[in-house]
Amino acid sequence: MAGSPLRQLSVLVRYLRGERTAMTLLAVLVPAGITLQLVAPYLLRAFVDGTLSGGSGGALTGLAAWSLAAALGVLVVTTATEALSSQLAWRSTDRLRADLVAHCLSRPPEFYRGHPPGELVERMDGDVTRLAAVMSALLLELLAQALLIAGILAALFRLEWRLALVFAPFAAGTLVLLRALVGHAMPYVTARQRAAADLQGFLEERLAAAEDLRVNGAARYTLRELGRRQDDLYRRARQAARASARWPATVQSLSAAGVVLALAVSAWLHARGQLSTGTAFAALSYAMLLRRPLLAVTTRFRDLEDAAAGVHRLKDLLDHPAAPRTGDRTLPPGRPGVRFDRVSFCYDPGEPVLRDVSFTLRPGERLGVVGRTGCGKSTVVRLLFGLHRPGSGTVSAGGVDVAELDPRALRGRVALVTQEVHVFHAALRDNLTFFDSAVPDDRLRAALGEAGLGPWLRSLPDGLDTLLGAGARGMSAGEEQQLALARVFLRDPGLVLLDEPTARLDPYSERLLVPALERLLAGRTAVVVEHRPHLLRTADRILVLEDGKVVEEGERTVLAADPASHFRELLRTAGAAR
Amino acid sequence: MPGRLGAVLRGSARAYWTLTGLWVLLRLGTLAVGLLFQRLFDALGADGGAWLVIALVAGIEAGRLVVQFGVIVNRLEPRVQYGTTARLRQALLGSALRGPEVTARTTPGESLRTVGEDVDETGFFVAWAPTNLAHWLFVGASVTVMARVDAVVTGALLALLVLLTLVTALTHSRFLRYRRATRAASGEVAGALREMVGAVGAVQAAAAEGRVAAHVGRLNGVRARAAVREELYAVVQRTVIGNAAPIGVALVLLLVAGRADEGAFGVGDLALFAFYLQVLTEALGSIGMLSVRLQRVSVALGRITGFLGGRLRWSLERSGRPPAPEADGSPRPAPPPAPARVPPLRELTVRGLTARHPGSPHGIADVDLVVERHTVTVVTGRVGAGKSTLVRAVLGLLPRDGGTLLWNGEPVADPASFLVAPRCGYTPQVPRLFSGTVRENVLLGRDDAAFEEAVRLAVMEPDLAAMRDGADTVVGPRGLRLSGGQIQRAALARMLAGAPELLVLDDVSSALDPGTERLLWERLLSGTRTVLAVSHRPAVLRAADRVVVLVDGRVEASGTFDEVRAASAELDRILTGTARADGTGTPGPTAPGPPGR
Repeated sequence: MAGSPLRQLSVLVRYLRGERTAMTLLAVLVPAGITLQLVAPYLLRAFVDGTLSGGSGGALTGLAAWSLAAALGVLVVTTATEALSSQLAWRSTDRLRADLVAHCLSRPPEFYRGHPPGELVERMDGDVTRLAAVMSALLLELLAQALLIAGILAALFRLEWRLALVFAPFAAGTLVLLRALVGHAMPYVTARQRAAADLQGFLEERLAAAEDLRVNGAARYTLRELGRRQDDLYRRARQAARASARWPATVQSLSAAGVVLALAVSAWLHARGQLSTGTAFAALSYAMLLRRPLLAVTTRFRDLEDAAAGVHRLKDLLDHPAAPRTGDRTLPPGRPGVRFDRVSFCYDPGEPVLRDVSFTLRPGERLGVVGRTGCGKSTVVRLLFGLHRPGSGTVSAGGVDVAELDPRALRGRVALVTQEVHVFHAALRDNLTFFDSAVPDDRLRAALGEAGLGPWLRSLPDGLDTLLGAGARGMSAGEEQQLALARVFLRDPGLVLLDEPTARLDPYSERLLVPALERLLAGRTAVVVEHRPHLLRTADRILVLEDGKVVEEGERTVLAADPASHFRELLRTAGAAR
Repeated sequence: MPGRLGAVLRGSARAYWTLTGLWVLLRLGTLAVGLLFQRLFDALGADGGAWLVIALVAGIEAGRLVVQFGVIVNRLEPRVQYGTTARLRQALLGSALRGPEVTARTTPGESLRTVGEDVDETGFFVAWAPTNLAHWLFVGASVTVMARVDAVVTGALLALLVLLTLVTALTHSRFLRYRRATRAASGEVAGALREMVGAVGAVQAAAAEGRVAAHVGRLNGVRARAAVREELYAVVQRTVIGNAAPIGVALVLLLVAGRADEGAFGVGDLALFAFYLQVLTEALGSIGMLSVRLQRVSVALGRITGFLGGRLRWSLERSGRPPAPEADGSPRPAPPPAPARVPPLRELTVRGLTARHPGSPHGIADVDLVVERHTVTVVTGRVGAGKSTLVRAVLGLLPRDGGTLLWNGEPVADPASFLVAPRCGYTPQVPRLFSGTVRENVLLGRDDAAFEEAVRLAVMEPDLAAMRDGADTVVGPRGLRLSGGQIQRAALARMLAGAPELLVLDDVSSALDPGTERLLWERLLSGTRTVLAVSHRPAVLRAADRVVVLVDGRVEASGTFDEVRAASAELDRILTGTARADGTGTPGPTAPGPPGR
């Protein structure tokens, strides 16, 4: 009955795959429930005619018992149908949600710039949950009510064809009329909601400013403004009520007309001796039964339209262009070397961040990248981590072009530590493993110990099961950074990239972190972006960048000894600042 | 409760009783339709009189539809509902604007809930109660009619309905439990998704997409299981009530089947019972809501009454006869009268003033102060010394624990209603603007003529000139589209537009740059204004006619700048910046001086 919303919802069909049993059951239960509802007036007819013709008490009691069984049957079948359909709906929308989650997790950073977190959560949870409600209740109900209307007409036809003839155009006309009324009240309801929200905002602001307003003599003005807004709300509420009343008014008028029509036709036929009292009774019952589907459909239509809009938004989200093709090669085992060959890169066209950068790092060597803020230091490690593709030139690790590597394989062997640490609202264990329950506790404790969190772990009341994150146990910035290191120790990568991991730490926390960082770098290939000199003291090579270009590259000891080198100058100013 | 509801209804009492009367009439019509069905089927059996009955049914139904949808739903109900909410909101905001008691009694969050949800709840209840009442009447009347037809069958039906109601009530508590579980699980899912999206970089960097997705999937599964259970119980409730009528009819058949030959229970009676059962089960839903709604509305009314200081009826009457909303263009309620003419300020005297912030140990004790016409008095002291408390207590924004206030020597009984524009103006430390234009925020409904001068004095014209829409720039919710300094100066302009005799300024320069601040003080201290200001800026202190130094809520010293400087070590500390006078500004010689005075 609703072309466009239903078409929107049809994309959901593929999430119903694998639900054959449930679908089959529903295909049996729905018609069964409708048949049971249709049977009741038939039994009534037999009962009434039986009573009037002085039928035997036993036969009548039998009919009554069948009626009771039918009524209880409807109860059971309806409950089963709805329970089944809600299960079906939740299972299939959870599949849709899982798709959305996987899709979002695979998106590149640009995707997240275009979609604020609140919006994504609303899409993945709010829209999908509304969809579950619509699928479980509404679609099935619409289907069942349409079947019921058809069934009533069929039953009337069997009962007395002239009654059916009167009712058929009537039922069809009803549906057409109702279709025309759909959604007419929406703009008025929206306007009323907006006026109510406006009034609430007005009250919030005026209550907050009550003192200013009173002393500055604006009490009367404010109350007048309130009156104006309340008048506006009242006007819109009346408009909305008038518009919204049209639908139930139409439905009820039509059903009242149906009842009167049924009575009149029955009385006429009865007067001509062509219809029994029992049949008249059954006709009235069917006319009353016809009211239900109409009323049910009326209240739910808006939900359907909402859900269709939600599906539309979800499709937009899923249709987001796929991430650029990635390779499928893996890194050879061991510590990889690193090589930048004439690499240039820009985030925005015309604003190069790196220009023609080349350097080589042998396995196990440690490179310090230095330079002023904005010189492109972080971009070097981001390219190496496969977060971006160079505009020209090649970045390779372990002798393989990073562009040809499977990014997940790359990230399994390469670790990036930045100043941003995200602590999940979850147990410490899950925070370390990212919800992988297969990692043994010994390894977790060892990793925490390596990160310098051994004493901290022992101070936790629930050990590895301690809940961390928002609203739970607080951690200092230093502890959070150590947690990030523990995550890296757990993965035991061959190449470590550090992007100013101590930038947001105070000197005290920083001093605590340094030994753990040293342990992490030991025996691994490393690229360290740092503007404070302490971590550079142990670097094998130094790369000095300026405006995206290499101004100096070489062994640290050589550069540090050369009084004319940029590196020497940097060390001097950093030392003076301390 | 009934008294409070009565007080709330005054003003739309007529509409309310009309509404109630009409609903009762409608239910009487329903009752009559049942009786007509009875007649009809008896008449069918007896062959005669059916057409009149059908015509009557058609007439009653037509009348019902016209009344219900042409009068009740689109006229009376909105009138009762929105008339009630309008009266309550006028009273509530009026009471908040009249005195400081409300702000002292309730937190901002609570007061917002009261003027919002609680008022809505009450308005909805008074519009809904008549239907409910009519349902009760219908239940009583229909059961009586049915009992007169057949007491045994009626008794059995009542027992059935009670049983079904019990079943749904029992199911309802289960349902509520699972609903709570679903809510909690949904919270977990939403939280996990929010974290996942927030930390997507970290997740990708750790190549943990699969594990995190699985984690979210597990939480989803938990939620789905809870939601399915919740829906199951909701379905049971719905279908039990929805199928009560057919079950009841079957029960009737079962009971009368054995007695069919006696002819005591005719086909007409069966039609009557079937119809009433249908309406009864529909009424049951509404009736079941009564206890829940009564409970909610009594809580809401309790909070509303609390907001109004326990004086619900008084406040509603005092706020006047506001827009019976249907009366378009009728005269507005007579708002509180403008302050009566009193002689212009010669001198404001504060004696022994003692006051304290509710729920805070900080306060002032025994403060004496004199502000003479056309002089500048500056109150200074460290954070927590009681500076703001002092000016707020003077203005009556805080309840006084002791002391007197004299205007030209005459005691002021209620400073909150006396010290208002045009006698007094006030700019608080954190001024509150509201959505609307700069002009609306400054003028507060006053004549436009005051705007230019007020804006000039407040040094706001350069800002307005730089805005694309000038004075008609929309400032955003709470003025948040303006900078802190602009908000402060807009508030100053708002105060100045009322041309008050006494200016009360609470640390207005805290968010201003030095140049603007110097200009501002130059204009304010031109020698023709009476000012009571809180400040710790040395330049302002030097320009003052009188300086009052507060230490721990008591006056340490007061007099001219030089007198106080000699007497007060505290002032010295404030001037040299060794006492952190305030977190916002740095006291020091940077504050520019006003012209020599």
